[in-house]
Parts: sequence; C-alpha cells; structure tokens
Amino acid sequence: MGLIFDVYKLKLKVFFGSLKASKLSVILLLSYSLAMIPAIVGILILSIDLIKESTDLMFYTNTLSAILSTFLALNLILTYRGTTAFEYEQDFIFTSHIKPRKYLIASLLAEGTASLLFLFPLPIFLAITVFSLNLSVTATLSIFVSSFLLFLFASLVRSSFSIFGAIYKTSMKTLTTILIIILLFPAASIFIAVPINYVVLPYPTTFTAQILLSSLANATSSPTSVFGFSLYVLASLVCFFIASKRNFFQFTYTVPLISAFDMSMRMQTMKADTNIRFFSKVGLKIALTSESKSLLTFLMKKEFIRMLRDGSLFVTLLLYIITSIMAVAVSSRGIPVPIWLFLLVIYSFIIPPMLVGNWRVIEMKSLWIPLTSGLNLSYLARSMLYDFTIIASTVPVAIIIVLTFISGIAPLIPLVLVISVSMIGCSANLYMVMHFLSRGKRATPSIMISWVSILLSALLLSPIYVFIVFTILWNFSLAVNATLSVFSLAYSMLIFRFFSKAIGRKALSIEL
Amino acid sequence: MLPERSLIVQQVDVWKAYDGVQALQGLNLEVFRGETFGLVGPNGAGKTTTMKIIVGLLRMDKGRVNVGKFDIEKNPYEYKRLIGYVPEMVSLPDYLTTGEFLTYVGKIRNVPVDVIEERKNFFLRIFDLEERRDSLILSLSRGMKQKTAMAAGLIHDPDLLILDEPFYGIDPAGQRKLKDLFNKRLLDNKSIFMATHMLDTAERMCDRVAIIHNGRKIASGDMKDLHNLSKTGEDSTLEEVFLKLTQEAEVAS
Repeated sequence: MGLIFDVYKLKLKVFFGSLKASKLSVILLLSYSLAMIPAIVGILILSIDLIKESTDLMFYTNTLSAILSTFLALNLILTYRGTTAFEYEQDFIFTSHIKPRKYLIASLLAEGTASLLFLFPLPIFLAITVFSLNLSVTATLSIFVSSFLLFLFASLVRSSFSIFGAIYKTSMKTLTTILIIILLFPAASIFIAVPINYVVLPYPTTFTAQILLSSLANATSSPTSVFGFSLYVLASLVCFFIASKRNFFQFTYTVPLISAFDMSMRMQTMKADTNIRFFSKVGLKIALTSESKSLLTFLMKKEFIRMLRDGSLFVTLLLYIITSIMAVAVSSRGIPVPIWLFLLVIYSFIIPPMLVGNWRVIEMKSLWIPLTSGLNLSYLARSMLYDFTIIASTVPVAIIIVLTFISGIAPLIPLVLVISVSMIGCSANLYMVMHFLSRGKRATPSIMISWVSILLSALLLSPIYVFIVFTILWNFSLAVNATLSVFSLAYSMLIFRFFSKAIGRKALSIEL
Repeated sequence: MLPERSLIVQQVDVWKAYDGVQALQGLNLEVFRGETFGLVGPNGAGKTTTMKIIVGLLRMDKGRVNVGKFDIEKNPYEYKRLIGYVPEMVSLPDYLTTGEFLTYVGKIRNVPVDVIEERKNFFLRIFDLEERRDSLILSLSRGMKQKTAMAAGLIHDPDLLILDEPFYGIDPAGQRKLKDLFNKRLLDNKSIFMATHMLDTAERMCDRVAIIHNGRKIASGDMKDLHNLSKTGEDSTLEEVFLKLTQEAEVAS
C-alpha cells in the first residue's frame, strides 16, 4: 500500500507541479472555473425544466444513454495505442521493483483525483438538481453512486483494454473497433433511422441512464437496471484483475508529459511535436523542392508546408467547416446579415493570432537558421505575412461567395470586412510577435503576447467596424458603399504595408 | 619571408551584459584565414556569447567586430555569406525532411539550385544520412540532427565555419569524417572557429587557442605561446595549461 501511495503522490505532484510554478496557470484555472459554472447551471436548469414537464421518460433514457455510450466509445478509442507512460515513469517507476498492478492502481487513483479538479462543478450540479426536483436522500445517493461507478467502469475498461491491446495487438484492435461501433449505435440512431431498438438491448449506459432518470423522478430504479449495471462493473473489475497481472511495462509507449496547466514554451513545443507527428502523415505528400523561381515563392511554399504539417491548416479548415455550417444555417433561416457577419468576423479575428502563435511556437527554436544566413529578413517577413493573410482571408471569402449564391446577399461589405480583418489582423499579430522576440522581451508569456496583439488589431480595425456599423444603420447607397469600401481597403493595405516593412526591421533586433 | 596572413575575424573590445551581469568584458580576438582557432573556457566564460555576437544572434553593448572586410554592425547581412554556423544544441525545423531542410538552407544562402542538389547529395552521403533524406527531422537522433546542422553550415561553402561544441552527440566515426572534412577546408584557406570543452580535441585540431575567463581573454596563441605564458613546461597539455591559467585568473579576480 505504501508503494501505491508513493507513486500516487508523485503522479499528482507532477500533474499539479506546473500549477504551482506558474501564476498564469492559476489564472487559467480560475477563468475556466468562472466560465464553466454559469454554462453548467444554465444547461442544468433548462434540462430540469424539460424533465419536469415531460412525460416521455423513454426519450430521455435514449438521449442520455446515447450521450454516455458515445463517451464510452471515445474512452475505448484511447486504448488503440496500447499502454502509455510518461518518460519519467518509464525511467524511474518502471525500473523500480513496483508491480504492474500497484502502478495501475496508483495511476487510477491519481487520474481520479486530477479529474475531481475538472469535475468540481459536480457538487453545484448535484445541489441544484436535488433542490429543484426535491429529491430524497436515497435518490441523491443513487445519482452520486451510479455516476461514480460509471466513471470507475470506464477507467477500468480503458486500463484493461490498453494492456490487452499492447500485448494482443491485432485481435484486440478488431474487438475494440467492433465494440466502438456497437457503442456508437445509440448516438447514430438519433440522426439516422436504425432498425434496432437499442434501449431494450443490455447496454451498460442504458442501465445507467435508467437508474439516473428514475432517481431524478424520485422513483425506485428497476432491479434489472441495477443488476445489469452491477454485472458490468463487476466484469470490469475482473477484467482489470486479469489485465493487471500482466507485465505490460515492456509494451508501454512513451508519450510527452502534457499538463493542462503548463503554458510554458517548452510544453507548447512538445504539443507542437505531437501535432507534427500526426499531421505530417498527410503533409509529406507535398514536398519542399528547390524549383521555385523566386525566393519569396519558395519561402511562402515552405511556410505553407509547415502549416500543413503542424496542423494549423487543418484547424483553419475545421473552423471553416463549422463556420460555414453555422453561416449557411443562420442565413437560410432569414436571420439578418449583421448576425452571420458577426460569425464571420469572429472567425476572421481568431485565425490570424492562431496562425501567428503557431509560427512562434514552431519556428522560434530554429529561427537561428535564417538569422545567421544573410537572408534579407524582409523576405522572411513578407513570405509569412502573405501566407497568413491568404489563408486567413480565403476561407471567409469562400463562405461569402457561397452565401451570395445561396441567400442572395450583397457580398461587398462582408468581403471588405474579412479582407481588412485578415490583412490588419495578420500584420499586427506578426509585428507584435517579432517585437516580443527582441532584446529583453523574450520571456513574455504567449498569452500576454496574444492579448496585446489582439488589442492592437482591434484598435486598428475600429475605423472599419465604424464604417460597417454605419452602413448597416443608415443603409448607404451602393455608390457610397463602394467609395467607402475602397477607402477601407486602402487603409488596410496601408497598415499591411507599414507592418510588412516594420516586421523586416524588427527582425534585425531579434536576440536568441 | 612568410606571406602576411589576412584576418577573417577581428573582435575589438567587445562588451556584453545580460540583466546587469557582464558576460563579455572588453574581449579581443583575431582569427586568420586558413587556421583552426579554438575558444576554450570554463562554463559561463562567454564562449557562446562571443560566437552568437559574431553570427548576429546577439547584439554587443560596445565594441567592434569585423568579419572579412565587413563591420557586422554596419553591414548586418553581407558578412553572413562568409560564415557557416552550427550551435551547440541544434534546433532544426522538425516538420521538414532532412533533404528539404538542406534545400531550404541552400536557397536562403543563395546557392544555385544545381549546386544545392550536388552538395546536398555529397553531405548526405558523407554523413551517412542518405537513407534519412526523406525522414522528418523530428525522427532523427541527436547525432543525426547535429550532422544535418553541420551539412547546413557547409552547404554554401563558407570562408569561416563557426562551431559551438562541434562534436556534441556525434559518434566517433562521424567525428573522424568531420575532422577530415575540416582538414580539407583548411587547405583551401578556409577557417574554422570552434568553442569546445574537449581540450584534447582543441589541442590536436587547433592552430591557435584563446582561453577566456569571466568574459576576458586570459591567454591566446599556439601551444608554444601558451606554454610560455603558463610556465607549465614544454610537455604540458592544453588541459594543464588551461587549469593553471584559469585558476590564476580566478585568484586574481
């Protein structure tokens, strides 16, 4: 027991260590807490009202079961790569006399404790539920215990499957895939008609959903549900008991230690490395060759390849898909232009700091190469700026063109807005990043740089916003709009050119 | 009469401080064409700072540095064509393959495309990296990354190669190949300026050595000059000379 506790303490110290080391992490955690509570309370009150008014308990059982089942499927996806461990665990714990089972128990306990931090709104959740629905003590306890047991069940299954997966690679992958598909049926049936009534099937999540919803209704849970769910938990314990007998240490796969609270450059670089490993599988299909005629084109291609291989481009496209769906949905319902314009502006505003921030994380460590090469740094600055601006503006421009055809909107003002946001956003963000790379400023935290950059972009964009607001309010004629658009684009171009030159000069003061 | 040797690096009265701590205190150095010059000193003596100032990664607070005919402050770009630099702990763009990285360096160094390909093939071959040409740098071992950085430092055939701990992480066979390569370059009147803790290597490879301590030069010259300065005797090694001179400097400071 002593050894389990020692490993448990070590794992927690490592996990929370970065929280102690950085004030920024504490701010991050507090922001997370403050942001989460109102959202959870709001969703909860809405859900409770719906449950109170509803007579169709079957519908809620289906929905809750589908959600929990998806959670279990995602939990199983994590087992595909087998057992994983951090480098310090491989070096110091696995080389000690600890037995696998003791290590696993310590890991589960540490995982549970760390999760409590993220599940801290649960007591608030429970309190609101209990008082709103006037629940009995038995019902309250039932909710609490069944939630805990579901969490335990998921953790035990994940541990056991990871170990078996590491040892019996192919056969376990097949089994896991089959189980994932089965677990995704309930969620799929919400969107597509599946000719199976899965609620009557013995899904562990259906049993849990029935117990939870019966408790919420202050009713007694059916013995079948309680028995069925208990059987699953018992089976997971047996499974864990068998798996933890195996010496899996030699099969573990090292993963970088990534703490949610560590905002350091080192940690961001590690995360970036993980992204490169993943995205380069696709990104290697486009190669950097020496054929480009001009140096600027070559450098732009190199930057594009970086964005392809570090995942920046993927995230941009993902946001594009989400924004497109939202924009099309909103415009097709006849919602006024300013609302979906607002969606586009948010998108256009997020992309530049994201692209520039990724560049900083990935390229800062190898910036010594261009800096010592004799390359005129204005080439480097321009290549990045052109790439960022093209990527940041192409996507929203495409959305606007699509919407012009679908909803018949007037594209001029939205186009001016997104092009200006991209040009000013990218140039201002890149300038600020360069500024913070110069002498005595390199230690500035990334989040601070982002805030300052976003603030500068917003200030510089205010004339454009004023123009857009006036256009919407006063409904200018096309001629006036066109004239003001030309001025807006000229203003954006001026700022873009100013920063483009300033970045080249600023690059000379970089100290590494 | 011997021909007068021309200078490739001249560093005069260079000062540099970090957060109030003086890293360099009026350092003077001279590196000639066609020589291997070694910079040795204890940890924190200012070796890396000296090199970073020369290659343009740090700005000096006071002083003057000339590389070839260029004053590096007045002409921050042109002189870099003459130098190749390999830092101690290399960080390379992990998302590029070894081949792509060398192409990238060749392009920004303004090397003609056909020459890039030719030199790339040459360095990949001599550094046993041919099989890793299409591998991401992220997947290379530390030694392979160091060799890749060395190839990048040489791809434009610089007049001066500036190396911070050049053999760090490289296996003995690789070290041997590098030494052969360096010797060939010296015959072409190219120079090598290296900072190292490996005193036996410095003694064998360098024509002249400067010993620095707390940002000041305490001795420089060939082994004969150093023996005379340290009064350790003709048979003493660079290690013995180094220890004696740095201990004396420590006492004096």
